[in-house]
Amino acid sequence: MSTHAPPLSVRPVARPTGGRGRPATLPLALAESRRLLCSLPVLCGAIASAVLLLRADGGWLPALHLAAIGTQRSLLPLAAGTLVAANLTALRSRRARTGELETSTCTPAWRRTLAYLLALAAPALLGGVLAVLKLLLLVRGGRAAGTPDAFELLTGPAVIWLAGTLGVLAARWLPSVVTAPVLVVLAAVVQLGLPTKGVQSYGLALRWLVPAVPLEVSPTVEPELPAFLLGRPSGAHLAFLAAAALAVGAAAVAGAGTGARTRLRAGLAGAVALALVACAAQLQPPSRAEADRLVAAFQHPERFQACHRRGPVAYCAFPGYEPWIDVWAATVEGPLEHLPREVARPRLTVRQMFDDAALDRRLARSLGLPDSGNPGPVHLLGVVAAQDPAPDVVPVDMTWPTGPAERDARLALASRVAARAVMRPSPRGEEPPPRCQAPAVVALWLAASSTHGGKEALRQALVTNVALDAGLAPTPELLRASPAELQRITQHRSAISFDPHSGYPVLSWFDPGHEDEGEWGLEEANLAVQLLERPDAAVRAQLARHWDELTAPGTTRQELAHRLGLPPVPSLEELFTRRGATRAQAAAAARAARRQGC
Amino acid sequence: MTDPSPTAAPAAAVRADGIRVSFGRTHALDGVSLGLSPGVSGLLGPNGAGKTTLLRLLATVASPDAGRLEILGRDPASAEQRLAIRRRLGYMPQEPGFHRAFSAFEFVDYVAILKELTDRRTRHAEVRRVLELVGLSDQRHRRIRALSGGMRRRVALAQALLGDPELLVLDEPTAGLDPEQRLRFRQVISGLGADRVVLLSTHQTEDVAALCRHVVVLHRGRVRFTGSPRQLAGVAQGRVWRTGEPSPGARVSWRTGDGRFHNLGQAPPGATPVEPTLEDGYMLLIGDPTEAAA
Repeated sequence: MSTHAPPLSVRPVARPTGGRGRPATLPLALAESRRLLCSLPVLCGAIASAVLLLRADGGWLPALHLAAIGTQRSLLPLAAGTLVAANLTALRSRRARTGELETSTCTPAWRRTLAYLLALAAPALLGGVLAVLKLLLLVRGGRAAGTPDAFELLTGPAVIWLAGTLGVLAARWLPSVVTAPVLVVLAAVVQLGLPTKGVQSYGLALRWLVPAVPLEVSPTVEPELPAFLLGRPSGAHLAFLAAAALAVGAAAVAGAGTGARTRLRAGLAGAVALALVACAAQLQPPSRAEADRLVAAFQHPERFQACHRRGPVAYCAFPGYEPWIDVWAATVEGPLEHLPREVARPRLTVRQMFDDAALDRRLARSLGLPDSGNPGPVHLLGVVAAQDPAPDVVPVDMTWPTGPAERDARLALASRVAARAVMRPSPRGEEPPPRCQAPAVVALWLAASSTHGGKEALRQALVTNVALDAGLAPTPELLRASPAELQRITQHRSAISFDPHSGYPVLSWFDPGHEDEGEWGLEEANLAVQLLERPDAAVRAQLARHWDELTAPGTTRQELAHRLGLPPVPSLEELFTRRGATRAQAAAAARAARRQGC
Repeated sequence: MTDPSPTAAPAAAVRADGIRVSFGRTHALDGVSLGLSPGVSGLLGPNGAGKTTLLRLLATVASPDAGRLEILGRDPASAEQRLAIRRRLGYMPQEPGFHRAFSAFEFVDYVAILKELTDRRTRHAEVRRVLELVGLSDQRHRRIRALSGGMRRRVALAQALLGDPELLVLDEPTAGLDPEQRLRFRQVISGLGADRVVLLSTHQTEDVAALCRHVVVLHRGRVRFTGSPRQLAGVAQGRVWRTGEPSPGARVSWRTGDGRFHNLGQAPPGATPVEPTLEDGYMLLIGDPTEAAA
């Protein structure tokens, strides 16, 4: 700086507008929105939300209508960050003691507060962008099913906006820097506690009072259903959140003082009324018509599905799930192609179905029955038997795992297809016995040898299976597993248990909703693994030569071992004796097992 | 000295009549009446005289308990008219406060938005202009927390200069400024004072002498003097003299740089009066020099 500086221009470049000036609300909101986006709480929240979004729904093929719901919970850290940042923004003039200076300007406190509220659009938009990016990532994978519900997708940003308005309101009514963190903790308690404790006491509807309503709510997990059967009051919930944000915002503006008190009061009253109406709407249980449609979709999914025929197989999926047909077909075609040429390919229908447990939970809500009731509404209403699929129908579920668990899912589906190609169906309406004897070995070999990763899946099932029954010692893998790994193993892997009628050890794969489909004799699985050690072509040739004999219902596993040159198979009595049974017990168990066809 | 008759020129842009402001039992302003016309006016007074309270009233951030105030032809008691006043006002509080994480540019820009400079491009040009005026162009992107106290005062001054304020209210604007900065400040304010009302409160009588066409002296909530700087200096006419030794009759005296003593008070017979300064007049006016110098 120099005292000989050139003459300075004291004439202004810009002049404040005159008496009818353009209010600074929007420019201030723009400036504040940029500051909010660069603030530490919002940045941290955005990063945490991005991480959660990337990790959410991992391990399953995406269903976009469910993924859209999942984004709400993932955006909660951003909402918490926005609450804190908005609070700090609204407290800034107080903390920096610029209140007097700001008061002397032509932008009154209520306009500044309004600008803070409008600036919240930025983090809300950021949340929306993150959620959409998440869905685009899922779509980019090429196997995403379903269509996202716009209301569900907008709920996350609405929660962010609501959190921000709470931060501004707190700054106006409880001006302290500790208020926002306390509010975040309280909100976390409500968000996490109400769905668990509150739901247990007052019912599932109560969870709609929390901002982000997840699919998973303790003590129940809401079924993963097609979008048209979900029955979530997403529109009413979004309206509830928006009206709540309006009401909170109006209260914050009122706290800053304004001349337009009448209009503000009217706005506040309107927002509160809208929030109450929307809240009441979202708390309504699903209608009887919805329940009827749900039961109909459970019993007669074909009425809601479009089928696509590929060769001898028709693939029927609920609306939106068509992208998964390729996934199913890649597995289903394997066992059929591996059948000997002389054997006729069965005409099958691969049909997507949801399990009775899912129906139970949704029906319970519709009919006002307890969620954890036993027996549940499905059994009370006797709708299970009516769902029993025809023998040529291969059920597939509403979910499909990815990663290591996909191998097991492929094997489970392939084994169901192979069973229909090789074995006689059990009578409809009866609980099917475990699949045993020579035809089961053939079917298992067919499934495992024709499925990508099937051999390893079957071998691993026998080596590192899950001991559901106390009679089996936990495997080393289980002993080493962390709780999270244990959950993954028990959910995604295979299990060995005992046939409740005979005590015959059976092997099943994770196969939600189709547990009865997946039980295979353990000895048969051992024989199939032995066959898998041999070259596929050689086994296929042997099977082709003895197809009729080996797939005949009466052919035993001992006969199969003899025919295919496998080591002798112990008798049932010997098997049970090895497991510690007395001779008499072993004889009784063997008789029971034989009655089961094993 | 008694309160001379307050000036109330017909063209006064700011008019106060019988203004009273109390904080509990303390009367910060006690029946203040004055008028301010375009030009630079100085507000002098010891600490606690009520200067800041008066400036806050003129900046419309406080309201009087009694009395009538008219600013730029409008009544600040009316919300609508108060807004109109604020649109034509530049205010630099005594302790403006800063958003310390902002840069100088960001802070002034923020205030510019609050002043309804809504067009981004012209607003930024205006922000650059006022920062140039206060000599902060080179520092405009530094965070306020990293600026010295003097630089912060200049940031506060810059925001007050935004736009075209018809009334500029500056509370101790030169506090903490170095001599160069003060000269720069005088250059800016003298230019602005040509056609608008500038009221600056200060303890720096040199600034008042150098800049102001009009001076108001407040003491204990009352106006003790209004007039020109020459008139304020005239208060000490014949009551300032110099001696080689401390003069026993002086109310206050001090040794000057040339070794002689500068005396204020009732000059003894035979003393040779010297030309009084504005500071001499001010110190004699408020009676208690120690209080004035505080």
